[in-house]
Amino acid sequence: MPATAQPIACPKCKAVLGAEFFNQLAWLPCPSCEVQLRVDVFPALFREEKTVAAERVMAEGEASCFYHPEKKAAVVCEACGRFVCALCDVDFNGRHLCPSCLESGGKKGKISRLQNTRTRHDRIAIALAVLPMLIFYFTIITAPAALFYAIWHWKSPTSIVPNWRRLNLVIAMVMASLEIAGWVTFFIWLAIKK
Amino acid sequence: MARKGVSFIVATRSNCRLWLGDDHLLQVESAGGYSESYKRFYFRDIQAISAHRTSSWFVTNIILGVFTALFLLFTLSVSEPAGKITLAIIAGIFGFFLVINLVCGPTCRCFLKTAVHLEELPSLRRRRNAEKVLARLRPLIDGAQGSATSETLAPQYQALLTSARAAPAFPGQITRLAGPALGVYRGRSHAILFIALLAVAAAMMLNIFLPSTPVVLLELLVDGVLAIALIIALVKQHQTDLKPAVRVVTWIAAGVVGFGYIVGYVIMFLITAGGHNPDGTQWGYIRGVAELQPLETPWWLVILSITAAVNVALGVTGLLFLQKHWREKEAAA
Repeated sequence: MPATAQPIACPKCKAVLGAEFFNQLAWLPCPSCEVQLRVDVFPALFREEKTVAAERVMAEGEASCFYHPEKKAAVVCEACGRFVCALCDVDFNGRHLCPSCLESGGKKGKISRLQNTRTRHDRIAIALAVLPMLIFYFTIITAPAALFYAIWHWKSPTSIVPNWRRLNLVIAMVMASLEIAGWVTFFIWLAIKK
Repeated sequence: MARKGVSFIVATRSNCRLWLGDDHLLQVESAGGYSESYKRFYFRDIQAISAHRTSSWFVTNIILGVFTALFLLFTLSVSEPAGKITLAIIAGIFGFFLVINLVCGPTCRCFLKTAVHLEELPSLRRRRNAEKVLARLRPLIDGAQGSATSETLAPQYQALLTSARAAPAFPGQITRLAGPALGVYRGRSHAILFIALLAVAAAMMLNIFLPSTPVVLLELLVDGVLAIALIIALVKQHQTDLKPAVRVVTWIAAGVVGFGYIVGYVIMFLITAGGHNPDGTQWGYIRGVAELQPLETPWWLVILSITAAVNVALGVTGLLFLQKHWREKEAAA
């Protein structure tokens, strides 16, 4: 039994539940707090996680790990080509990577699955173009800023889920352009009036 | 990548959405709408998904029902057409949200367990939605891990209980193995509350310098929003990890709002007694308040100024504490 596995508890009162509650596809009352609950349990709860131990280099000339020279190389990192031992080998979605490639891949955005934050530049552009209209004097500064921001971030990565990024950027640019046009018209009118 | 073959599987709740990837479930949390953070739950790692019913649906129905009934009664008791229409619209708004809540169905809280953490899925807060999503997820998780029934899991689970030296709870058990854990505070109800406090202060300042019937109506409307925001915030902060300072500010705000309503009734009595509300109706009271020129009525100016100052102090303090709470949470994460 996995040493880390914990029994399944009622999510409300934390009382340990019996197996009779599992995978019933129905809402049953908790024996302790009587709240209606549904519990779906999967075999991963009982899965034993394998621990790997790197082998020592036994013979002279045997390939060794780039990070642990005393350990025997087990695989080649698919990103940088370095030899790595079983300990340093990270199996990431079927690819064998070394820890530094994994880290740099996440930081530089090369491995999309490691990314855990994204900025919504399209929404920032929209906000910059629309919100200052409440106090329209600000638009003299924010409209060019919004236009610049939308153009600047036209190709920037955005949300990893489907979204209206391009449409939002177009709306922001149109709104900002209209505001700039409004100010230009106003200044021309002022000049003519004088 | 969730973009490939992705399909939107559930409705959203506040700022959380769930997306289905080819081998994982992606939880997208939007911070203010300007940035998103992602959590991936791979099907092969999901140990359990548990959900329990909550009373939010029932409580919300009662609150909305009471407000709808109250405003309907007010509508029937008022004689002026303008007041009748205004109150009927407010009753209609409450009624609309009541119907929406009734249609959406009972609420629940859903948790996903892996070997390393127990994560709440805030987007699954309606029971119907949770069932729909679980029905869609089960085959995918079974595909990644193999299917299991209650009977096949029982012997392994018994061994797990033995190794963990735990025994399942029995009906009527009172002692719990652990006290109910504090829930994770989510949502923007407190931010709305503190902004509403500032809005009330702004409306009061407007009333001081531009006293008129529309301004008084605006003030009443913002007061109503504040009262609703306050109730929601008090419900939301119950048994959560929200910073104690924010809770205290919320309770002080509740006291101030409650006191404000009492003062309001006293003023209503004074206005009626002072002859500013000859017909004795709600509409007459609103006009009476509008006629009280704060800059020429010292006691009214004092009340408005003090209340506005207290609201600003509470609103700003609350927002600062709330910001600190989110920063600490972010740092902890």
